[in-house]
Amino acid sequence: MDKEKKKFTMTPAKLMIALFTIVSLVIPITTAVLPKQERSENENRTLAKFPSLVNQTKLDKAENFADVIGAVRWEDITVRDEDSYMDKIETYFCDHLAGREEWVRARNTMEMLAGKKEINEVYTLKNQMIQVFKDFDEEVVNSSLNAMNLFAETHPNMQCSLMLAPTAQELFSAEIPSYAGYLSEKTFIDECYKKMQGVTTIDCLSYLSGHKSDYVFYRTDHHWTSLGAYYAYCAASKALGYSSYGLDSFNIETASSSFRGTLYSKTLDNSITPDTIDYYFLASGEPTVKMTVFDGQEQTVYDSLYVRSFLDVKDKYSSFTGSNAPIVTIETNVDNGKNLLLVKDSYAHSLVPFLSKHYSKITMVDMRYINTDLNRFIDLDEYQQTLFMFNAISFSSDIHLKKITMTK
Amino acid sequence: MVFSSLTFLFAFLPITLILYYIVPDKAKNVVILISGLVFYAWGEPLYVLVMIASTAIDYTAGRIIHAYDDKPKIRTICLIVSLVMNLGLLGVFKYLGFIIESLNAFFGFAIPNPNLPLPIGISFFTFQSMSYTIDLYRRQIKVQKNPVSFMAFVTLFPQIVAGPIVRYEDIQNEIDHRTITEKMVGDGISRFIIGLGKKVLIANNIGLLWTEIKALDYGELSAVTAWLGILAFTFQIYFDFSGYSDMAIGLGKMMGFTFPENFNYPYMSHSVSEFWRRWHITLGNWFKSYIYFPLGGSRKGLPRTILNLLIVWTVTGIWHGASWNFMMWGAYFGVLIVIERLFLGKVLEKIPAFFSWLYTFIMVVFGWVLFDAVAPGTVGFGDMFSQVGTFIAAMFGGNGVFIDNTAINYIVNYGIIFAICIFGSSDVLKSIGEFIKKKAPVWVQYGFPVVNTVVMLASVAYLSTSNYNPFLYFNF
Repeated sequence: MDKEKKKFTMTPAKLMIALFTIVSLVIPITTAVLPKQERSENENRTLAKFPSLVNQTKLDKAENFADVIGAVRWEDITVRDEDSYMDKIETYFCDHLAGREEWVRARNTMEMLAGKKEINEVYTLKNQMIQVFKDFDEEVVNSSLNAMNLFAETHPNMQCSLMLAPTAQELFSAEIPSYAGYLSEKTFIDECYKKMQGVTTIDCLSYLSGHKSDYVFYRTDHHWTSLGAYYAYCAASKALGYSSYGLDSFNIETASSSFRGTLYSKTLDNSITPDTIDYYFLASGEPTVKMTVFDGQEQTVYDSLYVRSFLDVKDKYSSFTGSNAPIVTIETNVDNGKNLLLVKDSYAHSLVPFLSKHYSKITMVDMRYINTDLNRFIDLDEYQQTLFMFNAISFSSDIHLKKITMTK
Repeated sequence: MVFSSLTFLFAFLPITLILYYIVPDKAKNVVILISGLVFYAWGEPLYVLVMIASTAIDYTAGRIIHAYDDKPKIRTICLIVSLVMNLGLLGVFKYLGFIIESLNAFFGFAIPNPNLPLPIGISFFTFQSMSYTIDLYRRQIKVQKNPVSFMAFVTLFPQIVAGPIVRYEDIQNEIDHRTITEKMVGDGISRFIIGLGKKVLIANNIGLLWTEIKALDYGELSAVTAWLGILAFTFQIYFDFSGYSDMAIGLGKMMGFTFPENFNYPYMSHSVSEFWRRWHITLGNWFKSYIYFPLGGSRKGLPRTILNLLIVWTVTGIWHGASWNFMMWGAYFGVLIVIERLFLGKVLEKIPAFFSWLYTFIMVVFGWVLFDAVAPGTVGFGDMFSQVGTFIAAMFGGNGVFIDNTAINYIVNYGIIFAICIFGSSDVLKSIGEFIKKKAPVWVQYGFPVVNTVVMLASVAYLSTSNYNPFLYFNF
């Protein structure tokens, strides 16, 4: 009986051929078959589309064969540059490779095993991710500082303040070896503050440092937590002229405990505990608010500072006043006539719920999206105070704040 | 196309291999020819025509040389046409810009530089083609009458871009009759994956360190940083280049070809001469056969030998690229080899092996300074010297700093990769592998394919994620 059966004998060579064949076929076939994603949530970007060699508009208009030939983007295959058709194919392949996120995670794990401490500019401590502050362009920073000074000078009736927030790197600096060569945010903030004229500077770093061991920065995101923002709110009370509420005046609602933020997106390290997003409500009752978000095209009105629909998606931090928009106006029933202009980055989003208890109106402007005089959107005379509020790292590379000088 | 890309691994290679294995033997060279043209055109859509033209001329020259076997003049003319054309291609595409820039710099001319981009692999395929016409002229090989077979020899995609320099002689039997065994395919796959891992996992990683250090101001480097930088390059170029050769040899094996070896643990050499017998072996052999021996080699007395060595090494240097530093790099090795020939070689044999190794390794490392510590686009001779000089000074603590935080940070971040590099460039792993193959029980042998597969998957993880770059700020 055995003689009739052709016996299959395994050899290492056969196993190699089998494994290689499986890998070489399974990966491209699953990649081809699986539905393609258009966007990468983690990377916050649109993934590459399959490159086309044909200019569709030209092709639609084509009347004869010569037009069809003319509609082909010949330069994409004849010119050897980074924009060539062949490179686009490779990019497409990389963007849509089956299990892309797992490949990234595998690579990052190998990098860590190989001793790399920093991955995609994120330094990982025990259960804490840190966005690193490596360098900055002094000219860029100076032009932002000068712009604020000039704004204060040209608006003498406006009481201007600047708050530069540290990021997690500063608070955890003792745990990062000095040879890593990261810059000190404290030094950076101090240097910036020294150059301010007519602008009150707010020291929230020492306030936050006093609460180092508390949960003031997210573990997986580059922002501060609501608690971190609360301490900044306390630090700003003197400069802005309100008396801050004590921590025990708030009821805390945990809106989400599965938040994986921007730093997680960079390393995809699942070993770090997901973050919780907390909302702080005054136990004695919140002021009623009307929040108007102007995205540059149209206005959307909310009756809360929290856009809870963001809690269901990856970008949960955006539930604080919504994702970055050019102008967000918050009107409250606090009847003191105090209006605040808040020129800010996203750190301000979790700070605003605290500030809103003390103002009739707060208008947040994001200079990244505004290229003109602010008076075209708001009436500057309505505001008694302007607060410039940024985190040290984003401020160090901010090239948009200088546009504030366009405002008369 | 490069081997280390997803397009190659998961589109080109599976399709080509499936076609290659299913077509009858007679049609296999057609698959090689077409796949080779596609492979080349993928990276060089226009210059593929240059390659086709040069191949056609060499093929014709070969046929005429063969047909007029008794007419020495015609044979010589054909050889000259082939050489002039191949060297002309090299001259125009590779050296013209440099020559023009140098003339302009020295004599104050203003000849416009056409800035022709260098066709990929031109240094390799011209040398391969030339070996065919020269060997045929010397009556060392048989003529190839089948144009498809000849074209398949030139366009054989595994070796078209970065060697090894496969001479026609090496594969003249296999080009028309080859057997593909299961063991060859299995071994070929293993070899390919090892090469892929060397390139993607090791060379690319350690290369990042050199890229970083090279971008620093040489005038501020601490001694340790400078050494780390050039050692990183030392390993990068070895793992990159030998990895590429491994991939080529492996792919060749999968297709039934036996390509010559190109690297034999060069960093274990005990003299510079030995280093060059172990580094880029096929190039060394090419220059030996076609330049050194025709010049008389070592048969015409000592002064002539010295001159011949210097010529060969300078030309070897220039082959690596059209700039002064490559020429200097070649000449540097020429001088070292002459010195070894004169007396040092005997000394190196007598001293303890560790010291002869250390001498050789350090000399090679300094060679890499000449080779790569120069900013791309450096034209002037003086410029080149000042950059190299500053870098070497930094290696000796010339900037007044022995070690700084930057260096410590690099050691912490790259220490493990350096250890892997040192281990991987010695033959320890090979010995262990051979020991296991001989002594270990059979089931252990199945570990090799599994480990190889893991290496392949790890390489894919690196290749596919180089463009993973999350932005912190929304729409920004």
